[in-house]
Amino acid sequence: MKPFRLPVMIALVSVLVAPLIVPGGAPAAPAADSVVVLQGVDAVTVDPHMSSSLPEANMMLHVFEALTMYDDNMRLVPGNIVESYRNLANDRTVWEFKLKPNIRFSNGEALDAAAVKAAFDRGMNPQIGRGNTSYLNNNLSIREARAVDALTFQLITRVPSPVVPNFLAEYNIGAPKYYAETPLPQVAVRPIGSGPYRMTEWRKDEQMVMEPNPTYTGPRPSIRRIVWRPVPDGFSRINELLRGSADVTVNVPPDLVPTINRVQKAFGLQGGRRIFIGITQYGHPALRDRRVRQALNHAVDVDAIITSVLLKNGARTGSNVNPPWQNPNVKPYAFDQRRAGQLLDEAGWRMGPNNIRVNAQGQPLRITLQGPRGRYLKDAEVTQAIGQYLRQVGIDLNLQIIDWAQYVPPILQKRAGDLYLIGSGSNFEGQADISDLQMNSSSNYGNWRNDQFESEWNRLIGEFDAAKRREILYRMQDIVKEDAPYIFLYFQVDIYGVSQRLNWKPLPNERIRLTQATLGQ
Amino acid sequence: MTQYLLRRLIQAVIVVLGVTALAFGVLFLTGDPVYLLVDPRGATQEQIQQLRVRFGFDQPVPVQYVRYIGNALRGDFGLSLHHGVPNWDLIVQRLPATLELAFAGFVIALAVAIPAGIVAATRRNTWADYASMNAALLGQSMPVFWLGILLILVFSVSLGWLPVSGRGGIEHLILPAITVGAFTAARTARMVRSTLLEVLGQDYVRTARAKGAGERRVVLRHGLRNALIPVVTLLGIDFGYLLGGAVITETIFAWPGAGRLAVQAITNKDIPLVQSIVILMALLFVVINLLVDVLYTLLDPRVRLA
Repeated sequence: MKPFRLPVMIALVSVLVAPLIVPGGAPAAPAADSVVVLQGVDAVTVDPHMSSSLPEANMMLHVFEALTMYDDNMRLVPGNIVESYRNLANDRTVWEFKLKPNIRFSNGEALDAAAVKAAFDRGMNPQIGRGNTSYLNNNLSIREARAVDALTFQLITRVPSPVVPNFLAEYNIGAPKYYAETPLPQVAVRPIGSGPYRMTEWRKDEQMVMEPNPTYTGPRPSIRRIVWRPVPDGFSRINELLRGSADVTVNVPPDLVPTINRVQKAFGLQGGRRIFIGITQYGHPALRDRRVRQALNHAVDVDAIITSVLLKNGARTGSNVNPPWQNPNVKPYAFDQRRAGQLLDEAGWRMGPNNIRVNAQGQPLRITLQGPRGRYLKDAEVTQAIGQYLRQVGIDLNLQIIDWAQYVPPILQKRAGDLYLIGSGSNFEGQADISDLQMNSSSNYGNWRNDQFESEWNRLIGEFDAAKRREILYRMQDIVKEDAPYIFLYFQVDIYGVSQRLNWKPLPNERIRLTQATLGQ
Repeated sequence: MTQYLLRRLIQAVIVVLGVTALAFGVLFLTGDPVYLLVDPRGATQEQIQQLRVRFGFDQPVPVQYVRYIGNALRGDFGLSLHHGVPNWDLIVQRLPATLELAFAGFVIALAVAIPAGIVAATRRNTWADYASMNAALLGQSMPVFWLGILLILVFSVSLGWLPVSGRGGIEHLILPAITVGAFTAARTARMVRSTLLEVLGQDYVRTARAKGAGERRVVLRHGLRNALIPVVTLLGIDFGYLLGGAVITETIFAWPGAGRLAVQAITNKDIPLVQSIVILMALLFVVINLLVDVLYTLLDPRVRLA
C-alpha cells in the first residue's frame, strides 16, 4: 500500500497546532483606566424598581442614588443628593428630606422634590415595584410621597418606624420624565440615574460598561471605565484574575486564597450574613421542646467547623444580630455533648440500642437535616460536619444535600426538613436582623414564636430613642439565645479576589462599590 | 424517494410532538405551577388564585396542552418568569453564539477526525494507528469540564496566549470550540477507521487496485466515500449534541449561548424557558436528522429504493 503520508499528516498537525500559533489572543490585562468586575450572573433588568439580585444591586449602586446611604463603615448617612433629613417630632410618621440644589440626572433632567416623589410613586405602583422594591415597600409601609417645595420632600408612613432611613438606602431614584414616558422593556436595559456613573453599553450575558456621569456633582470617580462581566463558573473567574484579565472577583473558595495571593490579592471580610441551622416548629414534635433545641446547640463544635472546614473564614456568634446592635453578653452555646445528652434525657429521649435515642414508646429520634450546595461558603461540607456531630449525641439523622434551586422553595413555603441550613443577609440594623424571628415575618421560616419576644418586638418598633432601642434589642437577643430557634453558627466571611493594581476595599454588606477605588500600576 | 422523505417527515413530527408533551409535563412535576410565578412569602391565597386563572392553570391539563401547542405553532412560547420577556426572544438572542460554537467545534472535529481515521486505517498496527486511536480514546473518555479547565490552565493562565472566557474575536472561540468538539472528533475518528478498514477489504476495492488505480484514489474515491455513509449518521447526531450539549462548555467559558441560558433557567426555576429551549433544541435535532436522511440518499442510492 502506498502511504499518502505528507498531505494527511500536514492537515492533522496543522489543525492540532493551529490554536497554539494564533498570535496575541486577548490582551492579558484590561485597559489602564478600566476595571473589570466578574460576577456569577448578569443582571436581568436594570430598572430601578424591578431588580432583585445582588449583582444587579452592585451595578445600580453606581448609576442611581438614594435618600440615604451606608458609608464604608456601614454607618447610615444622608445620600449624596440630600442636605439633611429628620423625623418630624409632632408626627413620627413624617420624614422630611432637604435636597441639594442643582443636581441633575445623566440625561439632564433636574433632580428635585418632584423627581423624588415620582420615583416613590413609580416604585409603589404594584404593576412596577417588584423584587427588592416590593420588599422595601412592605417594610416602609408608605402612605404618601409628597413634594413640599422644589427642594423639600416628605415621606409619610402608615405607622411610626425608626428604621425608615435604613430601608431608603436602597430605594433608587431615576429620571422622572424618562421613566414616565419610556416603555418598560426599554428602561429595563437603559438606566438613567444621577449617580457617579452612567451605563454606556450592555450586551446581555457578555458585558456591561459604565463610564463617569458628566452631570454628577459629587466627588469625581477615579476609574474611567467599569466593565461588569458575568462568568458563571467560579474556577474560570479565579483563572481570569490569575491571568490578569480581571480586577475583582467574588466568592473565592478559602482553599484557593494562597494561590491567588501568589499573583494577586485575596481579601476576607466578615460580612453581615448570618449562617445558622433553622429548627422548624412544624417538623418533628421533639423540636418544639426548648431542651432539645438547646441540646442541638451544645452538640455541635462550631469552632472546629470554622477552623477545619472554613479555614477560619467565619466568625462564631450566639446571636442573630450584627454589630453594632449585637448584645456582647450573649455568648455562643459551649460545645458540650455531655450536657447535650443530659438535656435530651430530660426531654425524654434516652439512649437506646445502636446509639440512637428513643422516647418512652421506643420511637427513635429521627430528624432530617437539609443543606444546600454552592450557595454559601462550603455550605454542603458544613452541613455534613454538623450532621456528624448530631449523630454523636444519638440522633438518627437523615442528611440531605440539595441543589439551591430545589432547596429554597420548600423553606419559603414552610415545608422544609426538620433542620435546614440557611443564611440571612443584613443591612446592619438590629431591628431588621431580629425581624427574621418575628412571628408574622415572611423570613420566620421555622414558624418559631415566643410571646415574650413578641411583646419586646412591639415595644421596639415604636421606639425612636437609640439607647432604649439598644436595651430592648439586647433583651430580645437574650430571649432568642435561651429559646434557641436556631443552631447558632457564624457570620460568613466574604472572600474577594482583587488585582494587585486596584486599590479597593470591600464592604461588609456584600456590595461592590468602586466609586472611591483607584488604580495603581 | 418522495415516499421515503414523507415517512421520515411524519416520524419527525411524532418525535417533536412527543418532546413537547414531555417538556409540557415537566411543568407539573414541580407541583402547582402557580408557585413558580409567585413568592409564597408575600402573596395571599386570593392573589394566587387570580394568577392561576390568568395563566389558565385552572383548566384541565389536556386543554392546557392543546392551547400550548396552538400558541407554539404561532411562534408564541410564552413569557419567561425570570426575565419577563418572550422566551422566543431570549433564545433567538443567544442562538447565534451557540451556532457559532457548534459549527466551530464541528469543523475542528471533522478536520481532526477524518485525517486521523484515514491514517489509522491505512497504516494499521503502526505507531500512527496506535497514537491516533489512543488519542481518540482519551478524547472520548475525558469529561468536558475537565478538558475545558485543563485548556484554560495551559493556554490562558500559564502561557497567556488565549482568553479565559467570554465571546469576542476568533481567539475567544478556540478553546471552547476544541472543548466542545473533542468528543465528536474522537468518536468520529474511531468510526472512520473501523468503517474504512471494512470497506478497504471489499471486492470492489480489490478490483480498483487490480485495474491499476493509485492508492490515494482507491482510499479517497472508492474507500472513503462508502465508509462515510455510517459516519454521516453519527455526525448528524453529534451536531445535535454539539448544539444542545454545549451547556457545560458555555458555562465554563462564560459563552453567552442557549446552553448557558438553559442552565440559568434551571437555576431560576424558569420552567417555561426551560421548556422552550428543550423544544427548540429538539426541533433543531430533528431537522438535522432529516437533512442527514436526505444526504444519505445522495451518498447511497440504495436508501431511495428501500
